[in-house]
Amino acid sequence: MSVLLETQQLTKNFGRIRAVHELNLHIAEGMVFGMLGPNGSGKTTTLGMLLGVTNPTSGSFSWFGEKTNHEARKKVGAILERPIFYPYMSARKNLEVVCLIKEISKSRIDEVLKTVGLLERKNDAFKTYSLGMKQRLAIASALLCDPRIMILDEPTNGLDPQGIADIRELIRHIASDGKTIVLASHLLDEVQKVCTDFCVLGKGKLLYTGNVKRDLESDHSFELEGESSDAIENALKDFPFIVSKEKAGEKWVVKTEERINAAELNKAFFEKGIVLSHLSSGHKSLEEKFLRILNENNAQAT
Amino acid sequence: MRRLLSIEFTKLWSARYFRVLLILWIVAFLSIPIGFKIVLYWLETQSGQSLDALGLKFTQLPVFDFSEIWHNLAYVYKMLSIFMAFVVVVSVTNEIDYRTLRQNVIDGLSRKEWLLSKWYLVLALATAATLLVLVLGLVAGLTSSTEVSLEAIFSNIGFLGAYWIHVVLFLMLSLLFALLLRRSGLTIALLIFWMYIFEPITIGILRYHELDFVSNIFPVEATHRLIPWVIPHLAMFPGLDHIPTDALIIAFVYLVLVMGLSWRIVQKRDL
Repeated sequence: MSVLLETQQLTKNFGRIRAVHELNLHIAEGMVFGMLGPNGSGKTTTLGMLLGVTNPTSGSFSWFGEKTNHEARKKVGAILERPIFYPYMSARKNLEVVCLIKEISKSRIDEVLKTVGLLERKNDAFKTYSLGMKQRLAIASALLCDPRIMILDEPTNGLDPQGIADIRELIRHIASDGKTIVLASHLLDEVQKVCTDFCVLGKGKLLYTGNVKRDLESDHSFELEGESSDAIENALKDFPFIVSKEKAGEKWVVKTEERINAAELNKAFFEKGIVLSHLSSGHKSLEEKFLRILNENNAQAT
Repeated sequence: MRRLLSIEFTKLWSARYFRVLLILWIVAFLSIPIGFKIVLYWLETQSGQSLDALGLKFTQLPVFDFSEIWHNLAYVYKMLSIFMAFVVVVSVTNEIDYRTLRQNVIDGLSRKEWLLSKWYLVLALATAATLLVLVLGLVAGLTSSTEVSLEAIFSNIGFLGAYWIHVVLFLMLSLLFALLLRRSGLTIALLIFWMYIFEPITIGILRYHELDFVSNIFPVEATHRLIPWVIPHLAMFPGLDHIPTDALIIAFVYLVLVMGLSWRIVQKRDL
């Protein structure tokens, strides 16, 4: 799979505050990538840098494997924070401006307005729209260039339950078209339902990256920790029943073959002379995992 | 250039402030020469025979005569530049206020292109105004001038160039003010305060102390000095009847400075 978006040591400081710290991300084609993190963890700042509105302090990023970024942005559909349009202009006029900027034909305007259900209101001024309609227009605008990759930052923020359901349905629909999506959200349930991969940011640092399916749906995953991380790593290499292993902070997350349970895993380590200080199995909810990652990190920090 | 201009004008045509200012500007533009003629006729009928005896007729003041007409029109119309400045200021501050500048960049416009689109707006307004003055001057001159030789028509047309430079510099200055202050009300208030209160008073004081070389480098004064005062000239007193070279040089330096600073602000700022 080709890498559509990559960041290298991307960093942004606002004065003495580190908003984003040495972030390395790889987004491959076809991923629906969830960016998780509490408020102020650097999600919007990161996306702002990728979209050219925030100047990075250091580090770099590339779209579609190229360094030039304003030409690349024409091929990206993006919503950052809230929907922004010219309030006095109609939906159609607003999208015409986007077409001129992206240097694409205006012929898709009606089509995308239909996709988001705004075709009947296309001649009304943007300022007369409800929040849900504004959000849908933003998605229409992001779809306008038929992008390979879409950036959606909190697309359901401030919406009522019906609006949230509509947007979720829309995202699923778009993802099923094979588009790559980067979705920043604090609605974990949403990310779990829609995303294939995810990362967790905290205080501007990348705390975790993983695959939703592998991390959450497996009953045969374990998390373990012991005195010596290296000894654990060596032992894991020797065990024949380990399917995958991944380091998350000081802990190891391993997936085993079906026949192995926690007791057997513990026993295997013990026979190698390793005493585990922590062993837990099968986390299924993203929310739980997310909070655990954050807590671990806070514990480390203090 | 065509793409950036059409982006800019798509944004402008639907904006009410633009249409209102455009209509106001055109009305003011046309009413000045028409109003002036009416006033002259009125003065003539009022003054009666006392002035006639001296051989002075108000309607025969050489206001619309070639070639002075270009100087006179340029001088009068530079006072209307503030309307165009409002258009530039509101179009810039709106984009900052609505955050559409940020959205434009997200959509794929570079910061450079965004600023260029505003510069093109400035050039378009200045060129449109200059053309309008040209047409008006030709119409007024051909109908009122005592002399209509080609030489007379074109001999002082350089003042139209000076008018164009005046408008461009004044609008570029307003654009910089708008970028720095970000709020339309604040920018317009400061612009008016600077133009009509701060600069005239300061320059008055400087002139009183015969420090003309200092007052000459004030920014708005620099744009005005391109087209010198016409009244002494009209009243047959010696006055400047050409574009001062030092004013041109100062204007050019300002233009480079103001555009360079705007460029830097747009590139460096987080949106």
